[in-house]
Amino acid sequence: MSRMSKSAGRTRLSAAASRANSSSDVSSTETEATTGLAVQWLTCGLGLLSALLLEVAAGNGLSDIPNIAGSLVVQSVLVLAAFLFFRRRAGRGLPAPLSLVPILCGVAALPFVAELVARHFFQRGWTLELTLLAFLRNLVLGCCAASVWPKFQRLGASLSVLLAMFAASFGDDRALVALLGVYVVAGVWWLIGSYWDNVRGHIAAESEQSLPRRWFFILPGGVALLAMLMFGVGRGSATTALRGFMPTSGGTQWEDEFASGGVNDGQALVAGQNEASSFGPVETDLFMDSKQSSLYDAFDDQYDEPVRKSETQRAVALPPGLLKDTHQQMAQAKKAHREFSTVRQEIHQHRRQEDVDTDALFFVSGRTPLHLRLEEYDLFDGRDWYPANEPRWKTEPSFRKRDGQSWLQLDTNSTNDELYAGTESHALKTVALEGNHLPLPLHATELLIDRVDRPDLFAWARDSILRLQRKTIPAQLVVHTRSRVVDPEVIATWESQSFVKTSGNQSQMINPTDFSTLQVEKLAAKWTKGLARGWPQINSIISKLKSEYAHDRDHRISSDSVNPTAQFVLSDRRGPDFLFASTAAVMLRSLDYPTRLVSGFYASPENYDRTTGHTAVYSEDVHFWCEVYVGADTWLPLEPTPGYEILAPRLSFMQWLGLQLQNIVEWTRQRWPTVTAAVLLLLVGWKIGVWRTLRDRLIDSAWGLRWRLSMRRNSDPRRQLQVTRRLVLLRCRLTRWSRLSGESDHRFLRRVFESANASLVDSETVNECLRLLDWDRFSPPDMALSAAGPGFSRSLSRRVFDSTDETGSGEVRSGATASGLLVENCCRYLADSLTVSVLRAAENVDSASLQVSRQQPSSSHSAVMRERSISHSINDSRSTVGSALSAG
Amino acid sequence: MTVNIEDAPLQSATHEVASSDAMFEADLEQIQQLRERLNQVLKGKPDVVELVLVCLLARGHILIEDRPGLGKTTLARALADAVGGQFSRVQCTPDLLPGDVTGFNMFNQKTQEFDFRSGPVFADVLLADEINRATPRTQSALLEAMAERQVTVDGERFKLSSSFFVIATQNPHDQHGTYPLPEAQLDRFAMKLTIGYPGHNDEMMLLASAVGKPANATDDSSPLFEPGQAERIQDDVASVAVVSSLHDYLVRLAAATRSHKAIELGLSPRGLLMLQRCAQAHAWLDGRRFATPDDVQATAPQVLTVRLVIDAEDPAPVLREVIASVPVPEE
Repeated sequence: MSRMSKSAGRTRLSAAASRANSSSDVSSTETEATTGLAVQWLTCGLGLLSALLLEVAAGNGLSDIPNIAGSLVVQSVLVLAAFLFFRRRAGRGLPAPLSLVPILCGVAALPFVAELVARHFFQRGWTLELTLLAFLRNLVLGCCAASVWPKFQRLGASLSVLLAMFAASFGDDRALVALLGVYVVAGVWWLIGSYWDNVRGHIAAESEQSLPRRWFFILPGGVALLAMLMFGVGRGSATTALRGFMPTSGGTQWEDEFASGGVNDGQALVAGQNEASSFGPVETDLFMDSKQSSLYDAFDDQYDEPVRKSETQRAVALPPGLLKDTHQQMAQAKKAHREFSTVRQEIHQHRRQEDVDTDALFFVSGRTPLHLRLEEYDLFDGRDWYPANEPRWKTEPSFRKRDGQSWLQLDTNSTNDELYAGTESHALKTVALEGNHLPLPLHATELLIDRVDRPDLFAWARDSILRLQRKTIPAQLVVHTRSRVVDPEVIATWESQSFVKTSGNQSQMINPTDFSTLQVEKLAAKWTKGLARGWPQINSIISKLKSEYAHDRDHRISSDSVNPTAQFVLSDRRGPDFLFASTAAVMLRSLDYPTRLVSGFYASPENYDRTTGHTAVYSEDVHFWCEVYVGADTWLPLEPTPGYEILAPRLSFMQWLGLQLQNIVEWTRQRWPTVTAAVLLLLVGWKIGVWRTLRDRLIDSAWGLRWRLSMRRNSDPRRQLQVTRRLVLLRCRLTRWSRLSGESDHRFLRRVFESANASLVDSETVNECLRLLDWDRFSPPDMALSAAGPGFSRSLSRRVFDSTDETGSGEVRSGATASGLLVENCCRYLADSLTVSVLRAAENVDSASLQVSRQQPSSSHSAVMRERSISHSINDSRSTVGSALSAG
Repeated sequence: MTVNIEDAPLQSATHEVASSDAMFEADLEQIQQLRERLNQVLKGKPDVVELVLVCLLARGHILIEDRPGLGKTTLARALADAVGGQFSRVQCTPDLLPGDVTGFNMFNQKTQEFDFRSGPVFADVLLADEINRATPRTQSALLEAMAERQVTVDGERFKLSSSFFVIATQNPHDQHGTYPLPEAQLDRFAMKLTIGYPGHNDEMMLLASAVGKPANATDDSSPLFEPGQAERIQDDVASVAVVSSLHDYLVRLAAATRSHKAIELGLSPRGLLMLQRCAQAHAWLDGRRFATPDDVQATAPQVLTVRLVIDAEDPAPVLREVIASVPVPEE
């Protein structure tokens, strides 16, 4: 009992002494609660070990050691820093901060956020199970960092078991098994360490007895469990070990676009290595028999009924080793999925896969918009276009080896090298293409089909249209191309004489000579009047068509029309793309530009699928456009149809940045009132957010105004004190200062004062103020201030608040007036010193001092009145001790 | 600028109050001297001294439970000296009889009459040392004196001094040869205090002050109070105002002690009265004519610990919990 009152006596004396006292109290109780340092480190080690397991599993073995080591180091440093931080906190006797749990949750949720961002902005993603494991890893590491507190320690350790198990079952590397073994050993060590007291107790109590019977069950069970962990889970596949625990990929019939295996489950295609269960548009080393027509023909020497092809066409011969015999029906993945290079271990369970079907004719990976050419037309009779003649090889086709692959070199005589702004790579993945023309970009330079290195398989269909020497292009074929892109800025600067008037092919020059065509030609002359020959004229026609005519796919020119182009240009002013292309060709020909019409596919950016990174091309994407000859075997693509664009050269970073800036400026200019308002609001919000004091001051002044008004309205000192008390308590509540249970206003406000500005506070004045508040609350209503006791009359006579107010200080006042002044000054002092900003600044100090005052609920109030005598004696003792020491 | 509505009626009252304030202040000054003297005697225990003062002003008896040699007797002695009364001391042993405490009638051979030989209770300050070593019979005789401030010997009543004040000490219960005081008798005490060993510095100071001092030298023992002054202060303390909201608080506090699980015997109405009186004394010592919840909380642990039967190893946390569980008066 006396211990309590003793500490109460000291609270006011020296905060440091009492704090030290209480913290030693706390730490003595803490040590019972917390376990040893070694176990804490061991917990961190367990967490990091399980995180390492995850890294190895996610990186598919130890193939990428620098990466694994890097992330391990980063994780260790973070955990260590947090751990030391928490240790220091716990060393001061503080409990786990309340905010720790929300922070842990936030850290744990980071992988999900990162995953969302990655999927949305970078079209990249982890599989769901990896994301879940990363979530678990963050939770484990967070708990391990907070392992100073036993509950986090236990949580971290148990969660790390889950993480280690899941991670180990996720991958199939040998290193995982070894790591899991290390983990198990560390885990047993952890168990012994953290329950050592219990274990020791048992050992001491039962050392005389034989091993208790239950160990006969527990020991073999434990060994079996270890064996299961190490060999069962470690070597098993994700699908069998974890079914029901974690979402896994690989044949669970549950589709996730980022899942990492199987045909039906994810959108990633894996090139088969040992086993394959489906066909897909992916290059693989594995070939299988199929009834479908194929570009490959592997030699099969098995005693088996040969597979009858539905159609036999020219194909590339393959050695027999590549053929794999399968006994199951092969499914087909016709969609162009993300390609995924990780090779999963085989699953010995055969499952019937289902086809993944699509409406697309083929898929394009690479930059779009892309014009893929299928047919060229030269001759125009006013109604119909006629394809050009089949040309011969201009040069002997050759293959060039690059990266171990044979690239077919497409002969191009175009010498206008300055015209091109760079090279583009595209891949076409065919699904259902009719015919044998390869849809390629105009300036294609190279072409690659896996394992096809025979020139006789290719032939020129038109002037620059390549075809396979087969009837059809087989399905599931991947064609890689490289092409050059024309730089429009270079063309714009070309001299007029660069645009030649003849291409050597008369049919590309002549127009029909009927009256309607003349009208069209006249219009062309009108549109290009005064413009120099060359790009200005061409551009004028294209842009007129684009801007003044409407693209209408379903508009049909009446079949009895003599000249559809004339009707389109002169009267209808709307129509499908081939009318645009025809009109542009007619007009350009009338101005002596050799022009041809091209049909093909338009890979539209609208059909781009961000998750797979492919652009689907459908049958509706058949498109017509025209090309103009500019000499030196060079054709320029022209796109006269509104809504269609020609692939622009890849922007340099600075260009891209400029474009973005331009876009932003434009966007802002269009919406300037909204933007201005938003910026203003943001600024105001930022100011409020950054300088919270500003907001606090606002609140302060609002309440202060109310307080001042009621102070003026009420001249009764008690009433004034009530108003002030309410103001101060309200501010405390706003700044989350709360009274401890059973704590009086007096003690509460003293605590607030002490932590608010312990150095600045004038304890005498505070004491007076708090006593005045007490007088209002707890003295009978008829007890005047002057009658409340000598303490009060003393302060009345001394007038501690002898302020600089307007009444001056020299006047002699009657007792009542003096008490009114005292109360008023006291109120002012309270209201001025306990402002919201001061209270908010003091919040941080509070948590520490709260502990102290919880330890010592007895009154610090009584301490105050003894303050003088005690501090005196303490000072005495200090000086005595000091002198004794110095004398010694 | 301040127009005080109390101005007119207070003109006369202030004058009267001012004079009584002067007296109040003089009293406080004397208490301060007493405090200093007690602190001089009992070094490093200002809080114990403070509670002793509270008891003195509240007319409550003190039970000090502690080990020998911690300054119990010195404290009682100094207090008696200062109050200016007569000091007496009873060393309780199992063979101490009630008559040894209260006094007895002795046949006077000369006058052939029974003369009353007054016992040690006829004093202003009585130190009953090791009270739990006395037999229950003796204890009850002493406790009657404490409660009634009178003794009855052979049917004759003798009034004790009006400022009769008992400081009883007892050894901790776990020692051999003791008769624990029954709850009903413990209730007669205002507080139970524990002095405890002094701190390191205080003991150094104690030793330093003992050097060069004759072995039997006594401290200043001149009385501080004029005759009757102690009683007057005690009356003054009794008149310290307690508002109804505080009464409510006190009653709720008492109810809380009665309903708490770990407390077998709650606060009796007599104890409640004592609690209020101690709070008043505490307020008075602070120079106030009204009591606040802080006064109650400052004295409650010691007032409660002597009379509650707490089913716990260490009663302090339970008491702390009980006090903290009762909300202070709100508006």
